[in-house]
Amino acid sequence: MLPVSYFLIVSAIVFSIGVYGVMTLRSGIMIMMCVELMLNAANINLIAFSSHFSQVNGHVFVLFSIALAAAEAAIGFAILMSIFRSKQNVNIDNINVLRW
Amino acid sequence: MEQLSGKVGNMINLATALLLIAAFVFAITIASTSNTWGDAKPIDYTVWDDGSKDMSGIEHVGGLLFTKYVVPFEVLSLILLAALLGSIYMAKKEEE
Amino acid sequence: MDYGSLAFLIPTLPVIAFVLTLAFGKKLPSGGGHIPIIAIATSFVISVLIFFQIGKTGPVEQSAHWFSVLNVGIYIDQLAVVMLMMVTFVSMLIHIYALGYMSHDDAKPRYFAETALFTAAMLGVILADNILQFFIAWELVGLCSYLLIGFWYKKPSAAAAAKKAFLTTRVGDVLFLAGIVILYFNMQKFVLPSLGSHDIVYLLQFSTIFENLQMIPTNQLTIITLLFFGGAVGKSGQFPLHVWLPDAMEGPTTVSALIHAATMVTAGVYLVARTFPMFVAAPNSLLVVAYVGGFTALFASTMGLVMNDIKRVLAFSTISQLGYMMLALGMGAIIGGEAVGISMFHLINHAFFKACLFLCAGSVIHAVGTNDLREMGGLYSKMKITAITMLIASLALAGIGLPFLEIAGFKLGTSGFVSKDAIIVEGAWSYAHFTGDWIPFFFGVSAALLTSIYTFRLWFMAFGGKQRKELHAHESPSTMTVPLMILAVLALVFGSLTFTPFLGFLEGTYEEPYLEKLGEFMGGNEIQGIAHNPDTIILLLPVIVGIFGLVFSWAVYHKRLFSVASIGHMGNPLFKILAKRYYQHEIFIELISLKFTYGILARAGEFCDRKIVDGIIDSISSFIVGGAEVLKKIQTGVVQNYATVTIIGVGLIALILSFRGVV
Repeated sequence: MLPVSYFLIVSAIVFSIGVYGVMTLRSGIMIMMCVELMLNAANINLIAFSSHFSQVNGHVFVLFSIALAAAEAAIGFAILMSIFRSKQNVNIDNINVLRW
Repeated sequence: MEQLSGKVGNMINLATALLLIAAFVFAITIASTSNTWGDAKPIDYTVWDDGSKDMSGIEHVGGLLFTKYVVPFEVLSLILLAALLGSIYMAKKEEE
Repeated sequence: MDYGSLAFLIPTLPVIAFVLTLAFGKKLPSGGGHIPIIAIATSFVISVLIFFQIGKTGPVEQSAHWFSVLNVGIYIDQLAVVMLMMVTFVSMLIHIYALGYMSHDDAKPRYFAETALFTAAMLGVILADNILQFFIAWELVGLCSYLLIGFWYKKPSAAAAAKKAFLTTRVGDVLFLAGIVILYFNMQKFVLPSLGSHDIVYLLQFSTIFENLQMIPTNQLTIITLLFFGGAVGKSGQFPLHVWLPDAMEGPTTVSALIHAATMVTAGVYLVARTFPMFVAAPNSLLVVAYVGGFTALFASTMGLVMNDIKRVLAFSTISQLGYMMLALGMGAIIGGEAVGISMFHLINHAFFKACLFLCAGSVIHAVGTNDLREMGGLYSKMKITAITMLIASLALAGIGLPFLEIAGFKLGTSGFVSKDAIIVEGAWSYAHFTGDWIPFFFGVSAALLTSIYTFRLWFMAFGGKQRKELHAHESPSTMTVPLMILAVLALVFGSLTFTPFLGFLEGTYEEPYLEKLGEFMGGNEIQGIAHNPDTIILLLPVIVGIFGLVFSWAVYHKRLFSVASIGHMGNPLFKILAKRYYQHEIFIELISLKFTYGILARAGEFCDRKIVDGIIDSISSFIVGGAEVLKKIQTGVVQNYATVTIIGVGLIALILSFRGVV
């Protein structure tokens, strides 16, 4: 088997890509995709450790995590659709009404 | 059989349905109580029926999912239902 | 019968008269003026009875406990009883005069009530048994003076004069109170431990103070007595707090006669006389008293020369004569207890002739309708009684008499002659004889010269010569002329008749009880007593200056032998200085109070308060508000910023935990 650290490094890289995307991307859809990336990275981490210790609990947790990620994505896209209906674009930079 | 309309037709439908249901339930009852089904024994889902241990991970996951983590599983289904309803309501086109 | 038990009635009856007149005056004839007259007459009778009793049995002392070391009480000794008799008698006469003088005024009840209250307060001052009670009554006297000067309060000049009087005497009162406080602490520190704890000791009672004077250090006593003298300076109009007296003539003439001639202004002299043992124990302050008094006598008489208002001349004359009384008291450092006798003698004679002068002036003003001397003249034929009484009083004020003759032991001369002669010869000359310091003598004689000049200038300008303006003058009613005549007779004969017994009577006030005990204590100062056998020229000098003034004024103002108009106009700088009263208004009000106190001190205080104190508070709050203005920019409303901050926070936590360990 591959050492655990390989999986962890991959997971860290994927997570960082997701963080970078959330911080800098302009479009709402891109941000949603990066959130999915972050969740995915966490899942990789979980699977890696549960395989390393030959336990199945991590796999079950991942199942739940994927289901919840799907639910959250659905609701997120529904919100994005509402935004699109009022502004005709999903540019997050302009949604800053609740400021000082 | 030709379509029977009116109140007489409804009554005949109702009577037929009830008769069939009663017959079905009766037959099942006779059939299930007349045989012996064998002894029950706990399922060890880490081995096949013939004793070999070559089970893949997904079977382990499935086993855990329906024994130890069955309550979160059901709760997750409720969450998915809520997410479904919420997102459909929010993404619906406004009626004019 | 022990008349001393009636002593408490002396101030109480006028207070009751005050209340009754205020309440019922409107309904009674002549504004309820008879009630105070009856009350004060009764007080006079009681005072006379007590006078005869004191000669036999000694002072009347009554006291009641008030709180901690203070008491309330009555102390009538020889000094107090003569003062009581004078105040009640003069007050009674002036009230009778006021029945006629104020008959046209609408506010008669208020007038009579206020004068009754004033008389009550003055009597309270005289028979006070401790210095705190003295001060309380003193303040009440000042209040009544304010009320009475501003009696015609609708006139702005009267209201301003009343305010000026009150504030100026207030300066003196503050000094007086400071003296009382320092005295209290000194008594507590030095006297209380030695008296034992068997009885309650009243620290501020006069007898307690005088018996234990030697225990208080002399420099403390000097401070205390100087502060007391400061209070007397304010109340008696000595330099520099004399500025209120000329302006106080805005009140009715009877008020001027009562308060500013006979009674209130003498309270300052009475204060120094009352606390005389303290002054004797601190001889330096007696020197200050003498110099201030002498200087004021000269200073005020120079200003009285150029006044054209009849009452203002008399006001400056009052200030000058009060200076004489202070001078006499100041001689006590050398003369001893007799100084009190000499000063009080002049005080009582002055009350008689000055009240007579003011009342005559009131009679003239009442008849003629104007205060200005330049518009009067030739009134002699129309107002004989007023003219003659005023002439008698003027002779008394100028001190005219025959120096070397005596009939059956009585001197020949007006009472002013007897008392002023006593001050100059037995006071100032004895002082000069023993110490070689001729300045008080010089003050006394030169002030006498100027006094004589302006007194007769007043008389000749009002009554002599030809009438300057067409005036309808008539003699005053008898309620006004009878008091004038009584006072004039007293001004004529009281002095010579009572000189020797008076001095002998008053000597007993302080000599035996206190001053002899003090004799060993007073350091290098030796009381010498009165010097005898003065030179002839010394005896003649007061009379010479008096007669010179009479002749001079007769020549200038009656016969018009030569005119003083060439020096008596504003172009002459000397005249201008006198007429402008030495620019005191400019100095006191413009320079000291407006420019200095308001311009510098008040503005500096306001600057500190507004800019510095408020500035600190405001800058703290604006700092916080400014900080908030900066910090609120964190809420940008952009969700990605919030996500960024969250991720940075999580990262920091992970970093710290990875270095430190999760547990």
